[in-house]
Amino acid sequence: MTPVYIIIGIVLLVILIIVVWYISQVNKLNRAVVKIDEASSGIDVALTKRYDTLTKMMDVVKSYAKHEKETLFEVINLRKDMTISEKNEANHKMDENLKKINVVAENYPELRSSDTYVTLQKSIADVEEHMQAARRLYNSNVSIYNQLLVTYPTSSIAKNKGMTKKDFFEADEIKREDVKIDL
Amino acid sequence: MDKSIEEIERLRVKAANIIKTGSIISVSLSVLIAILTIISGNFFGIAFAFALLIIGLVITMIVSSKPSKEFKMAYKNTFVLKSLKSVFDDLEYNPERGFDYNVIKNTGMMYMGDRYSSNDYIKGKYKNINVEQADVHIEEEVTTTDSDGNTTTHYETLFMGQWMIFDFNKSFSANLQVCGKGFYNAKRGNWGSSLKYKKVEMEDAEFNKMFRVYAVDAHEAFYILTPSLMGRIKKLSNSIKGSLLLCFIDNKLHIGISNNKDAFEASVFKKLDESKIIDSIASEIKLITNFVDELNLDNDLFRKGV
Repeated sequence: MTPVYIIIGIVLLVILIIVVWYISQVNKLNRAVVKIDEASSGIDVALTKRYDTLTKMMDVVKSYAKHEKETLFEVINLRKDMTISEKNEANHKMDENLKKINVVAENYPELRSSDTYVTLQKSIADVEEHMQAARRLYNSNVSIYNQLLVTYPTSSIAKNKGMTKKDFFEADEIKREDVKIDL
Repeated sequence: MDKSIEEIERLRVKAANIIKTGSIISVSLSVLIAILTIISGNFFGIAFAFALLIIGLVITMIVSSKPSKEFKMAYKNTFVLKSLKSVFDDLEYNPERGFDYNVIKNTGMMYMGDRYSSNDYIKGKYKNINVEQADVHIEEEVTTTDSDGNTTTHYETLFMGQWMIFDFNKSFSANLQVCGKGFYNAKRGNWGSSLKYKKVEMEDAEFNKMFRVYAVDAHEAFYILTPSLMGRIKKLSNSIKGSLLLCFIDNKLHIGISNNKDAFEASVFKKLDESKIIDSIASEIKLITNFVDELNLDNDLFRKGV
């Protein structure tokens, strides 16, 4: 074997290694994006569950507090393909509605002691836990992805592919703790 | 079955005396034969003396096994049972049986090796939470071949310690495994299983260092392992001697503590001291109840009603 073939062989091997490495890095980034998308769907599911439970609670509260006309709940529209900031906003509105429900319920002891309300309170606690789990999973995946975007040489590949940092799903300070609801 | 401490002490002394007498006779005879053979110049007699020692000790073990067992059963059915009754409601205690092989196998947490045994089965309610626990010992047969081609077989322990099962206070649909140090490289028991576990990185870096988390669904891992629960698991893990593993399956929490200990055992060579016995058993029971207390398993806030 002549030295020329050896050099060509080495060059081809180096090119092959670079191509395999490049593909593996691209796949790594793509996997990170897929994980974020999956986690984002998890937030959708959790938001829908929370919305449904809150709607049930609002209906129960309204049936007890027919005379409290000033209690206006925020209008929440959940739709497909919401951005993270829109999801944040919807979640924030749900927080506001939950606060209003609790305020109204304070004035109606018979409401607070009703089986339906107690069951819904337990249900909302569980829904909140799912919401937090979805948020933490999403943020964890975003954190991993964002780290890849600032770590060389993955950052160069991401730049070439036009990948940009993703926003975190923020939570109210109160919800960073585990859910505590007084029954 | 409830016996007085004097009766149990008599059983202990009887068993201890048999062991001591048998051992002394075996050793004395062997030494005597060894000395005589050395004096007579027949050095093959030393091998005979050694064989005699082994045979003597084996006979001693066989003869003492029944009184030893009688003592241990009396100890467990009196002291252990009494202590357990003071802590657990609806108690069921059977020192001679344990968890069925499949209970452990079905968690997929453990490679089940070649030899399995389990005893000291406890079932009861603590703070209205269903609790089950038993000692579990799992061993693997290991065959080695030396340079001359001779093969020897022995058993290596894969798990020895307590296995506990608790009601968990959240409903979940997918299984979750949390493996502590010592189980990182263990042969996992879910080979060929239809459940596909994936490694999940939690947001708590310290927790990730202490445990490896495998889940069928990452969302369920984050749902079950809240920051607060992870903190409490870390605290418990630091307070326990041995390796810890947790498995969340079928709305139950399985906890395995591999500490090479056999719980609720008494030595035939130690004089019975009731206050010390009660303290020792209480600390072993505390190991079980601590999980309910520290992990707040009695908090039913998340048990769904709708």
